[in-house]
Amino acid sequence: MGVIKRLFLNFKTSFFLGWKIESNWTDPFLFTIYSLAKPLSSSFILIIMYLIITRGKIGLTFPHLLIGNALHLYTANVLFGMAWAVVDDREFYETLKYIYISPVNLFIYLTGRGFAKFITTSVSVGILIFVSFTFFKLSLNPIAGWFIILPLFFILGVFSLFILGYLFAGLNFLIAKNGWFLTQSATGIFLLLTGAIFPLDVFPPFLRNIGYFIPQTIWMDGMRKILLGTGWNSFTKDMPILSLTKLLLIQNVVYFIVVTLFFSTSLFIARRKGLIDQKTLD
Amino acid sequence: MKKYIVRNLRAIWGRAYPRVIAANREYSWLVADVVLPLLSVLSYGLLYKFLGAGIDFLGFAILGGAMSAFWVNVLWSMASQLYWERMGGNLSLYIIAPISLMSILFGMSLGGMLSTALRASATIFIGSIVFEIPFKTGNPVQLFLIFFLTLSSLYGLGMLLSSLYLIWGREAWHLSEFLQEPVYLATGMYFPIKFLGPVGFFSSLIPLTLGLDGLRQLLFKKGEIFGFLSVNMEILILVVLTIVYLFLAHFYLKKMERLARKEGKLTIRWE
Repeated sequence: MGVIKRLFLNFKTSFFLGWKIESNWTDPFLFTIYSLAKPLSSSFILIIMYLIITRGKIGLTFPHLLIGNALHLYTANVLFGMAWAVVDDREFYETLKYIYISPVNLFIYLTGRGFAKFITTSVSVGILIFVSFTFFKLSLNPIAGWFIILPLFFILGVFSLFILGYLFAGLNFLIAKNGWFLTQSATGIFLLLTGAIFPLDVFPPFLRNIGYFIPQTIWMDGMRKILLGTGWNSFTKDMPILSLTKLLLIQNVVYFIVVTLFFSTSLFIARRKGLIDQKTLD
Repeated sequence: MKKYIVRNLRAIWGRAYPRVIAANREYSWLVADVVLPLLSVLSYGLLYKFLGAGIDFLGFAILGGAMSAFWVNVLWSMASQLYWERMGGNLSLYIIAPISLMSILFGMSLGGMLSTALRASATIFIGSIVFEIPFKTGNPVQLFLIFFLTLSSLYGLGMLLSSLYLIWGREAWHLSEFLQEPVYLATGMYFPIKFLGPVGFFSSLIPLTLGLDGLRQLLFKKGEIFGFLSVNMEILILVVLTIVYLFLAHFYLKKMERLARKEGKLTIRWE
């Protein structure tokens, strides 16, 4: 079997497994409600907070807030999904060791597991954006040539999500039960430092600069620029979309190299130290 | 009878002990319980600040974030605990022991309340320092009653939910996930419940709604302006909720235990 065909089979099987773990505990109707309730609720909290303070007036910042929050769902779910898959398979189902000894590429395996999360999140994000824009009669103001740049920029952002997922999955190979805390905290920190629900300008310069090194910050602001015509962080506000695309591409390449090396090293250390079948959650 | 009471008191102490002592020995959980709500609190607080909200709204968000720790504790360490105990093989031991399952759950809730209160205080303390929140000193008797009754009824609800987890498998995990954010929305965790209008009456079935509203009225200058019901009325409703939830928990725990025995669910793992 060719290498690409084998890797694709790995991906397909792990995606199918991830999908089953996500969804086969109930019927499709209940699963749909479950999948939508959480993201919609957290978005409604933000919407209500916004409407209370602005006394029901919809300002220019509102669509920026909605798009940022919707895209943050990807960060939260894909990152957590991939990183948690390590802990889940190792500690709960106790199958990580079997996956490790099978002819499966763990990198691709986690991609498949993350992709299952990506698909379920996409449904929530789509519905969230559609419902909120329709309900509040908001209109998009896309930039010229958006139909070319939007899919390209979106895919670049999705790559950055998976890169982050590998980083935290790699960390989870090395640490014990605290992996869930680390991943959950990372999600919270990304909510703070990527300018998902408020511009990074509210922070002092030191924290603001950290935020700009996170690819999701560039991704969210670029998506806002493509769909609404303007960004909302001062750093990216006047930057043309092509510059943002280049910046995101460079960040992706750099982080991909670093994270791939880190992931392989963690796996190597985990094997040497006998951490692949450790059980610490009991 | 006296022996039975002593046995149950021991069971309460025995189950509360690990919640207080062991939970505080594991520093990573301690950090997690303080840091995770704090991150949400900071995010919501900064959003309020960005939108130009008054300082009391930041206080509302901080208090909500702190109280969310109790809801998380009720969901993951109370309601779904019997599912974890089943996975760990302890559930069958609890059932064959000559004690009531209510005592086990009561012990869990006592320990959970105490350790979560410490963590929630840390969230309030750090959040108030970061955003420089001024608190007012409301009526201390009302403050004590509303806080105590909120926790009593909340943990009573946790006991009631735990009966469901006796028979559920993986759904238990998902139910707890499902009940997090929607409950934050329905109870007005980060904004005054008054703004949800009549929905607030339905939300009041979750004790956090009235508890949070009462605490906000008593602790913040503008709390009363955004109050949903009068504090005394909220105290009265919380008393009723406490009694109802404890009664229902007792009834359904017995019922679900019978059902779980019948369906052979008490020892099943990895379901």
